[in-house]
Amino acid sequence: MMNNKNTDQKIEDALSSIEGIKRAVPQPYLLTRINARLNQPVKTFWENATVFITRPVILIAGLCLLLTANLFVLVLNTSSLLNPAAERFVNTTADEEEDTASFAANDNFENQ
Amino acid sequence: LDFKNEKILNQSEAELTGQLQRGEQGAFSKAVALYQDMVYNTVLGVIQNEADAEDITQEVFVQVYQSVASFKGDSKFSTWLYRIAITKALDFEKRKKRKKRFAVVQSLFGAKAEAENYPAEFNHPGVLLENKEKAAVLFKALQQIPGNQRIAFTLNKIEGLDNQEIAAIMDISFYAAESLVARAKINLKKKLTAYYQHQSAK
Repeated sequence: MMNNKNTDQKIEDALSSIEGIKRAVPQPYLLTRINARLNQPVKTFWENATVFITRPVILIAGLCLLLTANLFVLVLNTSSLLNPAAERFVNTTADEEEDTASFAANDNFENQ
Repeated sequence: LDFKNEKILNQSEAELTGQLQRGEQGAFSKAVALYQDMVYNTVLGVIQNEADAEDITQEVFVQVYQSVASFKGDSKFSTWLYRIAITKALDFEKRKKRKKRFAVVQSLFGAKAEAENYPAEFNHPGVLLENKEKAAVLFKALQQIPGNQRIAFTLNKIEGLDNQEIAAIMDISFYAAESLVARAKINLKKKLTAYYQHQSAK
């Protein structure tokens, strides 16, 4: 009970601690700094793009992406070389499809 | 402000806006001198870091300089300034959160992540010395409540604006502004309760 009262009092004190607060004032010569900022040359789109691209995170991410793509192609080629049966199956299927297509074409020709 | 003073202030604001839009010499310096404390104090209340608040204050005035020609005068010039300041402060917070999220990934790649070494507690320079400690706890709790409630509370308690002005700045109804401030207080009480109970349990 006593503890609750104490906490309530602390909360009230905290809430009223900013009563009569004075305005904070910036450092002197703010206008000079604003004018300096206004006189700064504006960066073009390409300047901003160059800054963005040359950031280490972007460079490393791009490099990783490139390496992953290369690795993917390499794995694909290696697996087809190491497993000729799969290659043969692919070729056979392709041949069969070609035969079916030519047969269908012939059939169509005869029907006409 | 009484009605007469407010009328004079509105007239001078309109005059200054006209001068700025015509690009009159000295108008921009006058605007900076008049509103720098207002902008800085608002931004500081939201982001709670003096160096960043100053940086954003500069950004706000740069935007004012660049886009004052498009200001149609639908609202008061100060309301427009508050809106820019709040938008910039919230944008900064979003950027900061995004940076924090990517900092871990960046460190994995060996890139030096920008350190976001914020002090554990924020001491607003306008708070009375005897209240500094309690205010630091309040500002910490303020960081944990939803953004729109935080903005409404900051404008109300730190900038001293009434609900009508808050409504105009946040582009909401008077009752919505009133409700936001009330909900901010309720949520702050919850956060403070949790904090003090945790402290007493230690």
